[in-house]
Amino acid sequence: MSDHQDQRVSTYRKPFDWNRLVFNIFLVIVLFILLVPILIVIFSSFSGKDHLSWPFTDLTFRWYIEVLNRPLWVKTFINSLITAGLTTFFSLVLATPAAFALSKRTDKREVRFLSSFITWPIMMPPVILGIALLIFLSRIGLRGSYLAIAIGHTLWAAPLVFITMVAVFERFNPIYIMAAKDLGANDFQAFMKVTIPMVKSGIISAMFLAFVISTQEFIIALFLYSPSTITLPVELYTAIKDELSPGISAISVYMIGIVAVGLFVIDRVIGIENVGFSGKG
Amino acid sequence: MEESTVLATFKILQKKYKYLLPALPILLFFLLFFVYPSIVMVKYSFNRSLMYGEIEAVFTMENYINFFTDPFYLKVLWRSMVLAFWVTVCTIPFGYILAYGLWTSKGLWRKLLYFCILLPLFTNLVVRLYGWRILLSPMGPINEILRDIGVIDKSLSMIYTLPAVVIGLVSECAPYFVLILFSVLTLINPRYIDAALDLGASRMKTFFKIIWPLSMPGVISGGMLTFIWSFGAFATPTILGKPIHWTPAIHAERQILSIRDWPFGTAIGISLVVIVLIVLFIQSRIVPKVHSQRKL
Repeated sequence: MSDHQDQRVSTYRKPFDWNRLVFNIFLVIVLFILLVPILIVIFSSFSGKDHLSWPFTDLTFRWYIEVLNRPLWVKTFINSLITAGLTTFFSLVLATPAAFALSKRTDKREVRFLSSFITWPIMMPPVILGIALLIFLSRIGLRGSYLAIAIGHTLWAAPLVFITMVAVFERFNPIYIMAAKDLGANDFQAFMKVTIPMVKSGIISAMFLAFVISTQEFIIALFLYSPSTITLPVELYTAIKDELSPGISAISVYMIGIVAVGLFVIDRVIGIENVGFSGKG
Repeated sequence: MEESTVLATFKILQKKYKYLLPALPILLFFLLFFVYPSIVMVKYSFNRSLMYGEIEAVFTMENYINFFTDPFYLKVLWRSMVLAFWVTVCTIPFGYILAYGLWTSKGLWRKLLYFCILLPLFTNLVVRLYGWRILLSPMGPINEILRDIGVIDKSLSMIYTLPAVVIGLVSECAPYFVLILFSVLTLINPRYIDAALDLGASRMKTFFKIIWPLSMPGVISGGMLTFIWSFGAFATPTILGKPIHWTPAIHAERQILSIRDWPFGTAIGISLVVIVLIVLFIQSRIVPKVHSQRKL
């Protein structure tokens, strides 16, 4: 039976699709250009020499251990984790209820307006967000704190969490909430006890999304950091202007690792195709 | 009597908009940390800066007049436009190939392609620019390999040139372009393609007569986004370019953080936003037209 099926498919196909071959060659070239900066950073981190000149020889793992003994980098890494933690918390607490409310009646004008308002900050050049927050937060004395950087990153992460969660809630069947309300729950109880547990996987991915965005962002942070709260990407930004070294490459590979792990988790939980960037934003 | 009508109206409003209540926290947060700071920023751009970073609170247009009449800044604007144009022109075919590949792939391949597109999208821009720096540097792989196979004698100076900035920005914008275009491609009804093939069109002809026109909204939105982002780019021109390639965003940052002329820096920033909004407005005029053509 299955043999018969296969034959049917193969008669429909051309014996050899030249167009597709040419296209695939282009696709591989384009993918290569897209990925080559990351690949070269990974490759260069294994170089045994102190400076980066081609070819990278005497391959070694020692930079990965060595950079862990540099207090500056460890400190900036911890700073990044703190701001990313705060950003994740703010983005989820702010964007999830909003996505819940606004995913239901998308036909209404005010709903559409509010949804587009929430995604405005990601249309702004990050430099502008940085300048605006710098002026405002130095007035109220917050500039330089972890909170300041986290607020800046929330402006960027919360809209993306919002877009992701709207997509999640659109697939959510409201009949379960009605059931909960029939059984005597109020709105808040129904949301916390029924809705949230049912969209848990969406929330976990949104969490990783916000976390990854915050650990990688540096332009807003550049305006808001102080020497004690400087994040890893900001330090990296100042470092790479005058230094190309395998140590810097090893630090970069740790950063790439955070993203790779984040994407892997998101893929496991809701599937990589559902990352909330598609279109509209 | 009157009070009760007010109260009644309030009650009706309350009932009507009660479902929006969960969105209130994020709206307040954005009003406080996005809208209000933006208004303060606009206010600063109309103030006058004195010496030592002090600011005189008067209403003056001089920051904007200085910005738009100084030939130096006009050149900055023009060069950034040219840069954004080249980036957009290169990103469209580059991103189209990726999006088309993603659209026509299945199963594990599709996941892998997604991963290859999202990994650079999320990876810290500094890391990717650092990669380009290693690649393009005089002692870097490209120069050394070209020299080894005898194509060149002396190292090419590839870094700190316009093409270096363009390639950096293309690889920065392409992942977003791909996701936008892909979301439009998935809306195309596959029957149109089957119909064209059944009627004897070649795959090439099907692409140019069916798929390309139908994907136009995605190309336009993605292209506009690419244009806006490369016009407002900050990191890539600083790291891969010379001061001659600096965009308005970089000049705004210099004015704010180094020179401490906040009124002038904010004026540059606001001008940048206004130009971005004009581009977005043009886009909102063009895209619906394409959509309505599509229905015919």
